[in-house]
Amino acid sequence: MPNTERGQYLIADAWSLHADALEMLSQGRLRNAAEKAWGATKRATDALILERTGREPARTSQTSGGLKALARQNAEFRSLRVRYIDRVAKLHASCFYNGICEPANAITGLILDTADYIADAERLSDGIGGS
Amino acid sequence: MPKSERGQYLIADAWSLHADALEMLSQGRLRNAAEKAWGATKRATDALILERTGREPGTTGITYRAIRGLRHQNADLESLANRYSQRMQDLHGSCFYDGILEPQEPIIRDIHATADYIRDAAAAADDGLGG
Repeated sequence: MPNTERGQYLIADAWSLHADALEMLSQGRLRNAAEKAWGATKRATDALILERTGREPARTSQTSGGLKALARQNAEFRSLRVRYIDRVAKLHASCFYNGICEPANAITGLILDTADYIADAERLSDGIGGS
Repeated sequence: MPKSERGQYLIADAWSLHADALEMLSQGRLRNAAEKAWGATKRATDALILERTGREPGTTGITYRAIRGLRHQNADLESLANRYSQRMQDLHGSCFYDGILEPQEPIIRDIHATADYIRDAAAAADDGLGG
């Protein structure tokens, strides 16, 4: 768990967005669910970066850059970054922005895996995998 | 309307996302609706840029830079470029990413105004002033 109140809020918000993604998935709204899952990914990553650096990213590019900097520190951050990049490309850019949500089972898998991503970001924000 | 098949597809996709935004609004999902309205804004803007330059933007950053650039060449796009920036900041950044949903009234107004934005972008894509 993050140590700061703001970090805890960001993780809680990530879980809330993930719940919304699952609700959208249950309504058959795959494109919508993908963007919610991406939002959850970003919020969880922001919490991690805030806890590790003391600075909360303001924009997506800062989130990507912050995680890239952390990934230079150890293998666990590098693994998370690979998953982050996969999610930004497939959930956010391809599915939501471009409307390309195929193959649907792969997109659905990424949406469901958001829970693991949040849990891992949450765990890493607590100093286990850090510098 | 855009002349190219791809441009027409992008405008149709913008209308589809707008319809989804209104559906989310009717479900009381303001944050979700805001992001759909933002997606519609980006797709309509991409159609305009494609028609004006022959190139479809790949990322949000490219869309932003392109519409700001076109604004300098075509005074008729000044209003649209400013509305794009405002919507990116309020609907996408503040509402969706940061979860700031108050005050609700201007957010709901912006979501409804997406229809006007799409229409204006489609019309600007067709007037050929800066082609």
